[in-house]
Amino acid sequence: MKQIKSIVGNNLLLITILLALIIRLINIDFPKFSAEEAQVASRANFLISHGTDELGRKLPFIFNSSYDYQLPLTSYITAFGVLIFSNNDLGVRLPFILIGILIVILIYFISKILFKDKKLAYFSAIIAVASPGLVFFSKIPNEYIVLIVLMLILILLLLQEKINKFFIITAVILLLMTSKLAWFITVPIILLSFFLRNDLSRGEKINLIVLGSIPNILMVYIFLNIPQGGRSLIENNFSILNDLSIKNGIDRLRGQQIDGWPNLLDRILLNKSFLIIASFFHWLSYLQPSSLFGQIDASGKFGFLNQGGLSKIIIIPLLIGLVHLIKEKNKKVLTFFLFAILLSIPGALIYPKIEIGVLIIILPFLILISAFGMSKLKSAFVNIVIVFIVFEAILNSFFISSNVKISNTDRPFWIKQIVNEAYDYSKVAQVFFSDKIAPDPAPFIFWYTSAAPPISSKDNFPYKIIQRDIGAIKIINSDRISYQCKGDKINYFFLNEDESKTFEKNATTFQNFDTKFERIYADNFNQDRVYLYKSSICLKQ
Amino acid sequence: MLETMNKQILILLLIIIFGSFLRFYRLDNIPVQLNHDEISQLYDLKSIVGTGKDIYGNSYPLAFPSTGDYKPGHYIYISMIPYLLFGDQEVTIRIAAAFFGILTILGTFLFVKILTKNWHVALLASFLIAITPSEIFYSRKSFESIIGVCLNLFGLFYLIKGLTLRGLNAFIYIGILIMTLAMYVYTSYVITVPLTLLLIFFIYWKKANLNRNSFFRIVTLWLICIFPLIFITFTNNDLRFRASSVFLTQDPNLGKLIGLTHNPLKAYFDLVFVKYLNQFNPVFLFVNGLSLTNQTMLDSGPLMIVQFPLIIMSFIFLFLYKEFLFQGKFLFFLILIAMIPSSITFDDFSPHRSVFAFTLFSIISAFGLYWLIHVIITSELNKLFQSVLLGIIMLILTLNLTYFIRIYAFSYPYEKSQYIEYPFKEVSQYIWSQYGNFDNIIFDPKFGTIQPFVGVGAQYYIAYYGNLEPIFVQSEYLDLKDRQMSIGKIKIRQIYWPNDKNLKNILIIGSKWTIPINELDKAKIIHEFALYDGQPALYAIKL
Repeated sequence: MKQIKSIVGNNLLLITILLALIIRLINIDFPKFSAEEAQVASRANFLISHGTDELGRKLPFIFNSSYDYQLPLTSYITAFGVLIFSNNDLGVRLPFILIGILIVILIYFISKILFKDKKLAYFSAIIAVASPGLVFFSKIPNEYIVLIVLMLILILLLLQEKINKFFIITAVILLLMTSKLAWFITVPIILLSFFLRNDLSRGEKINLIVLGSIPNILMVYIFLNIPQGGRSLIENNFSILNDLSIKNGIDRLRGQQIDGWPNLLDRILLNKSFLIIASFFHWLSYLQPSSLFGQIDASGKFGFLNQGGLSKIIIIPLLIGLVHLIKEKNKKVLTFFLFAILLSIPGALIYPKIEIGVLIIILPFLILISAFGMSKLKSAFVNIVIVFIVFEAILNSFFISSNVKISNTDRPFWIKQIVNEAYDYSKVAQVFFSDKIAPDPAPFIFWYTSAAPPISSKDNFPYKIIQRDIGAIKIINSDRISYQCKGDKINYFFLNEDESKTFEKNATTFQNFDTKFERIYADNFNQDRVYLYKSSICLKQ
Repeated sequence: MLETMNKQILILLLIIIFGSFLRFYRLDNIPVQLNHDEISQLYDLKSIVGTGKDIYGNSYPLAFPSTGDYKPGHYIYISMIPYLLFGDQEVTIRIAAAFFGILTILGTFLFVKILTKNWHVALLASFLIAITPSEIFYSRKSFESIIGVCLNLFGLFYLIKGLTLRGLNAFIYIGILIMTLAMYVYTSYVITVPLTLLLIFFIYWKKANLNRNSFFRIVTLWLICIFPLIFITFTNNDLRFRASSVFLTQDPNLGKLIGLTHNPLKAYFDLVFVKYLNQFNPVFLFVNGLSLTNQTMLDSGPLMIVQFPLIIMSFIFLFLYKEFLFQGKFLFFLILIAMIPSSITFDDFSPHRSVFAFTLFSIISAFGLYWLIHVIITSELNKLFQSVLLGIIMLILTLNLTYFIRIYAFSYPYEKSQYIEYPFKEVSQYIWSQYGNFDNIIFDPKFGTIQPFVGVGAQYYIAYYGNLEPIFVQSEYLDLKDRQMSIGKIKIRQIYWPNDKNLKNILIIGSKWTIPINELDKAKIIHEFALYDGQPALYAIKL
């Protein structure tokens, strides 16, 4: 027994890493891809096989998505995975799984350096291993997990006795190429890291700030100079500036006729400064307990069903950590708390949308505070916590059917069969595929079939482009087309239920016989979702 | 010491007077009309006082069938006192809640004083209770939970007083009695009071120097106190129906979750856990939890916005200085208990079940305010600057209160009048003014602006504003199936226009959802009833 304890004790980190790997490898093809992830995955394949992205552009620096520009690092990391491990779920996901494990190791070492307590470092690692938020995001190609690992690498580099400027600037540049969120948080990370060590001279601090700021400023400058760069920032990172709900609300409330109520009071109480209050509380909602421990995302797109960013039971050590932070005035724990606060502030600017990524990137710091809290608990309770969180993480990873079902719309795995058949039909006929079947169907077609990207693209910086032509497959917006003619050839139509009724009515008129669907495809809940028609009716736009 | 005590009493009196003003000023028309709960309670009250029966003919029922929700009767019976004192008027039904709302201020002072032995904190807590939005809001409607809050505070006062005296004494018995009364008043306290008693005895047992004998006596007293409640609950189907109709099992999300996971136990646990944590959402607590407007962030939470930084400061103060560490922990656990009821019901958010939790949050925020004032007063700043800073604090509190009054008194009726069945009072008065002119009158309470919903309690509005004698209503009122009721020649039912348009000498009152207003001959529309903001709600059609 003592020998076993000794072996385990000496290899605890290895065991933790192994556990992290197992939890992330179980059901490797879960979560099923969303449109954005399918786009990154298929893009990675095209970068390796064709040297182009999905729009036909040769090795671009800025990529396109249906809602924003995408910075390059995530896509090229995915491409690297495809190159090494081939074009399948393993190839696409493995780099991120490995990044997820690296995060666990980095959290361990950061904790060990700062707290100088191996036990506390293990607590940090184990909480990170089992964190539902980190596990989920480790299994999909996304920028947030890359952002976290680079952020932690930067912090670790800044904590080294000898500051290596080359590595730091490399980490900064890579960070800035991962996500626009990094542009808001890179310099704060450097500044906050100064609180974690007392030995930096003023000159060294200034050097580091400059090292972080200059690439940051350059990156923003370059971005603003690309077409739609400013628009991208306003729409996706400063959407509070575009939001009219507060202004309209103020106008509406002020417009209510109130006898005897001084106008001046309304001007004082109801004015645009309310935007500050709204964005402040919007920011606070990122830190609310139900997102952290209850349900990170009810739709199932960004988290396990009824799981927060952290395991439920971690609420206790986190609260204890915060209490001891106040009691002991622990500077390091306070710095982690400030990290969590400052790094989530960009979320306030994205009002009224909730950007789940903001919540994910603060998890490592909450983990460190929770580990600190765990170190204050009695060992019996700590053991219960560890068993609970590991058990919960394994259960989350094993039993995924409810998660697959709940993400019926945002992660439509049922679309795989449909796009494959559409692709097969497209080899012999024109196929019309409705864009109401799934949000942005093109990435699913690229990912699940062997459809090839266009040869070239005229647009160097495509912004929010939805691809509509993939070989003989045309993705149609049924609101903008009419079925008003009869053609010579037979075409295939994949439509949703509402569209199918309109289609049958029009097709019957033009073909002079009843048009009925050839086939119905069901979704995760076995609800009829997609109707296939074969008809010579043509489209007018 | 006498001087200090006089000062305390004077300040407390001023706070109570101010709190009374906030609760009683224009109580008759802020909110703008009695909602369906209030009108049904008022008319049932009139019926009980006059005949000893409700409108359905039930003698002194424990649960009033009312509008199908089987309200516990306590509030109605308590309201008999203001009814007998002030007579039959609309405001009568709101008086009991307002009164207990004022008593809550006193209860807060006593509770916090006995807990902290610091009258400054106690006065600040009472002041914050006097001006907290949830306290004012729930004191101005006929809502029994505020009585429960008051009883809890007094109960806790007596309990702590008794337990700090060491040994079993009368105060402990009084405290248990009062807290148990709260369980009779509102269902939420059936869950929170036993847990609170467990907590308090767990904390104070050793300090109170109580032994096993004392334990048995206390438990025996408590069991005797709750025995009638247990008996009523098990023997009264209506009360059980009421409880089950709001329980978590009515939440469609639960069914969906069980369908997904095929694990009912996990589904229950997960849903309750998420709902419980949702109650602590800062947006809900400080920005829009009371849902007084349709403008998302331009609304009011149960707590004022300024109470957020005060609560943060409180937690820092409590753990940093340890002077009130024990009290802070106690209040924290009380809040955790007080939030339980709203997490096991079908609503996503049910602030009316968490009213006591908001009271406790306000009390906690008093520690932050105390610390802030203490830092200013004991700082080395000159007196003028100290006064300016204190003035700024007062100004911020005043602005927050003014903002709440603006939203509650003025925007709430504009934005949400349809949800308090406005203009059913006007409809009822109109119906009676036209009663003699028609053979029959049909009123369909299905209305709404963006989407239709069926207004509740139409029969009560008609009975009350028609000054109908309860004995008449008891004999004449028919409650038929499928949303059909009648009082005399007034029929409250669903309009089916293809048939109803052929009726003769009839007055039909309905909305755009039940009558094709645009296709109708305009001459037939003899009256239009508008919502508070002027949007058309209902039409009177003469056939």
